Amino acid sequence: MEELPNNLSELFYNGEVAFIDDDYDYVINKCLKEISIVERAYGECLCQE
Amino acid sequence: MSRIVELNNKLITKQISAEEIVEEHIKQIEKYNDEFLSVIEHKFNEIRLRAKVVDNMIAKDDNIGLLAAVPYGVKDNIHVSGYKITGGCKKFENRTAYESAACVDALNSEGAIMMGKLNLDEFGVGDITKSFKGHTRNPYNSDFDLSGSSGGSAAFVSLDFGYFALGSDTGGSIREPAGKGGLSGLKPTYNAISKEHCYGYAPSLDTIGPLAYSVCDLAITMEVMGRKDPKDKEHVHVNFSNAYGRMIQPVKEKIKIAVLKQVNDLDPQGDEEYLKYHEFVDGLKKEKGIEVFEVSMPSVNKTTAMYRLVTAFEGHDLFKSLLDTDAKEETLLFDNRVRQRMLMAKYYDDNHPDYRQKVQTDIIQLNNEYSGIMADYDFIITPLTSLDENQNLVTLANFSRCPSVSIPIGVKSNNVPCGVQLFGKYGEDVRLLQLARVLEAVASFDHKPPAIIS
Repeated sequence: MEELPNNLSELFYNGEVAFIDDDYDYVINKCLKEISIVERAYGECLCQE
Repeated sequence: MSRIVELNNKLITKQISAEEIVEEHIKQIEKYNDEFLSVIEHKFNEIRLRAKVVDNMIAKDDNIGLLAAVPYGVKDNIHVSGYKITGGCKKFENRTAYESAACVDALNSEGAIMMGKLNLDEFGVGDITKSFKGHTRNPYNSDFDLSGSSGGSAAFVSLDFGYFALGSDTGGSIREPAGKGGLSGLKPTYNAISKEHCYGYAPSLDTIGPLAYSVCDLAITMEVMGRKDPKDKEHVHVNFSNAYGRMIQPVKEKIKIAVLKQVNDLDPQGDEEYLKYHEFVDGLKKEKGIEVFEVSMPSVNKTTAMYRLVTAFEGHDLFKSLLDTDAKEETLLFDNRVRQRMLMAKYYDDNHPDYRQKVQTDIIQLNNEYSGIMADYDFIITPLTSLDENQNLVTLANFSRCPSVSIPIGVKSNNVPCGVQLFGKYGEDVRLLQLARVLEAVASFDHKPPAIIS
């Protein structure tokens, strides 16, 4: 599984929210898209979409 | 002319009975609901009894209410006593409401007849309308949906299951489905309709409002639903008394409309909604008594980011409170998109702890820009959706807490309608509806989904 920046994958598996493996691509892609817009707006892009 | 006023006149003059009205709409539901999925719970026998009560009152020459026998529907995040209240979430499949929201009580006290609970996106989160009950389809073209999250409400009115429906709007969830369903939708001034006994999503933005065929019908429903709720301390009093009578008065003064430079600067690239928007605004410039000015609102280019942050933080807190335990496995009872909002809040807090404060500063800046424009103009007009992923135009009304109404202006080549939205001044909802009526007449949209014509 591809390593994600900013501990997103760690958050995905160890956070307070449960996901099943089938959700992985959908949720991560949605998160990355959102993070890219938000971090760009606040001038500190930590994550490449 | 308002369809509701027309129906009321027919009822009073005994051209039609309440029983005939409800039977006609029950037939519509039985015919089309399986294909489009608007109503997710109904009690037809109870509805028939309510209609009989109205007919008995008319027979005895009793005073009937302003909305006597007017059929309506309620999004399933608003409580109706005796009906399920699921919020579109399987976890609450068997939860029943024992008290109605104040707006439902007010409508029923004026004789309106609740036809059923309506499908929504889980807790009103998404920009589609998909719950554990299924995915609501667009009556104009079932290959498409109505966006969300009040798509069940839009389908209900569009398919003529009733005359109006209640929805909720956190970031366009009334106005966008209304636009795609060929209807008008009102996000009133924040808390002008009490939110007691309603499931929210982001409490600082959530607003309850109506969808209907015309802005006149929206005004009549607000006359009833905007009444003071003594039980809700957060209820904001907006003067909706005689709203319909006031809004049908002719507009004598010149209307000054603001369009946003940040929207005009975008290349439409053949996008039909944008082309229709520009065509409509160009048409307005030629109308007598209307002036259109370009204004700048730089903060609009940050609204997607602001909306994502606020809904992640507030949604996370709300969804956590709906769980029975702290076990993360329990979150699997929620839809993917709901869990994604919770995950994002954690991400932002871990990586950008300053974002909670930064977004509040940006909301203040946006509101300063908004009120600066509203000091000089009657309203701002924009398309319902933006071509730029950084702009979330609908949220201007949610962040500013001001009223916004959408009206349909045309149909795209895929046969799905599109609309524009008007943003007004805080607490001046009736004035906004009055101006929207002028634009509605210019647009002269023909409301008829092909499915129900054939």
